Amino acid sequence: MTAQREPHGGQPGSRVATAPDAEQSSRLTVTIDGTTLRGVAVDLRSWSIDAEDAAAAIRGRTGTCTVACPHPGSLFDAVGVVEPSLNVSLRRVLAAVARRRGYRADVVDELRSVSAELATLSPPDCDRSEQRRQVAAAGTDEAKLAERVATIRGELQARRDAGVDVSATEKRLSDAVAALTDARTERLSAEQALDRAREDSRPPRDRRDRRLRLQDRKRNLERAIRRELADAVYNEFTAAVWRVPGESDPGRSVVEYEGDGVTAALAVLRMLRTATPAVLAVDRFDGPERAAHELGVPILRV
Amino acid sequence: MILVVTYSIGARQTLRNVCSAHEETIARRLGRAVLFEETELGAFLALRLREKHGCDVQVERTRPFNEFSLVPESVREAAQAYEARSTPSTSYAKFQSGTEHPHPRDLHGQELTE
Repeated sequence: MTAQREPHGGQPGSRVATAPDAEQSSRLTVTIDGTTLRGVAVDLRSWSIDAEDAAAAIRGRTGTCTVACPHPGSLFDAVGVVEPSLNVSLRRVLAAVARRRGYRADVVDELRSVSAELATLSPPDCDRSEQRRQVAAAGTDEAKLAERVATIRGELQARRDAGVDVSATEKRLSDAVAALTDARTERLSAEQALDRAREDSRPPRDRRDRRLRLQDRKRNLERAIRRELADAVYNEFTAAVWRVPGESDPGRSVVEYEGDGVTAALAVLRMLRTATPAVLAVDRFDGPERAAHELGVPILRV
Repeated sequence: MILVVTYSIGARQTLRNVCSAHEETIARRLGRAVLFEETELGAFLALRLREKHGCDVQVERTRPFNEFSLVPESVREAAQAYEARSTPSTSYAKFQSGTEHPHPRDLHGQELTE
């Protein structure tokens, strides 16, 4: 399977602007406490602004520091803030880059149809606890009454043996037997109701079965799509890795990548060349401006 | 034993977690289903799963299967004879016709009773 580029390239509706060429990043304007700073890179280290504040400003939060820049896309969350402890889910990120490049995986249509079927599958409820409770309660009532009948029978026999009047005991016995008969009927009908409910549970369970199979299929397809898309841009990623500072060996595919998240993030930034700035909290470049030029992305150094 | 079958990704994952934490209570793991020992702990685990995942968890109770007390001799013999048939491609319906073995339709409608 090979991911293919769409005829016109680019993702429709993408709000991420791309810098005109690799070595030239867009300029950015940062305002801190009324002071305006402009340039391809702005060094915020002398201000008390950390990576989190800078990222929030890029995302549009207005506070001490505001940044005038295009709205960040989803990849900003993954690689937009380069800190020493950064973890990059490389396959996911490269798949997103490939999507932005207009690549489309072979199995996208299948994924769409699986998702469409999943959306129609909402299995009805199959809680049968009320029916089970009724069966259990009816069973207990019946057992109590059966015990009562046996006790009265014993009493009746004892009274007969003693030759005393049994009419009241006989009446009690016949009442108890009648109650037992009713309880038995009730228990049987509760059991039948539960049996019917169990039968009725089958179609909803079949739907749940189908839903689980589709959910698994969907996850597998999504994984396959990410793999395919990441493969489609891996050569480009490899080239970027060699151009950014770091000790990583990209290998030939995502699974072979040996290196740190920072290098991977820098390489992805270099691939993207967005007009949205990146926040840099690592010491890999000879100054923020150098970083901006090498990555082709405006830089906020914190 | 207590049979627990799961019907969603979340329920299946919880079942896996439960299984790895309570191996001593598990009689058998069968993918997204499990047989718990019939103890209060087994019941507790099954109920906990159902409490968390509702209808995505099915709980049933299994009983030992004794073919000698539960299954009529004719059925046991039919199974034996069919497995000893000379042509493997013969269906049971075809195999049975003209013999004294029970018809599949009759087997289908006949519930087992102790």
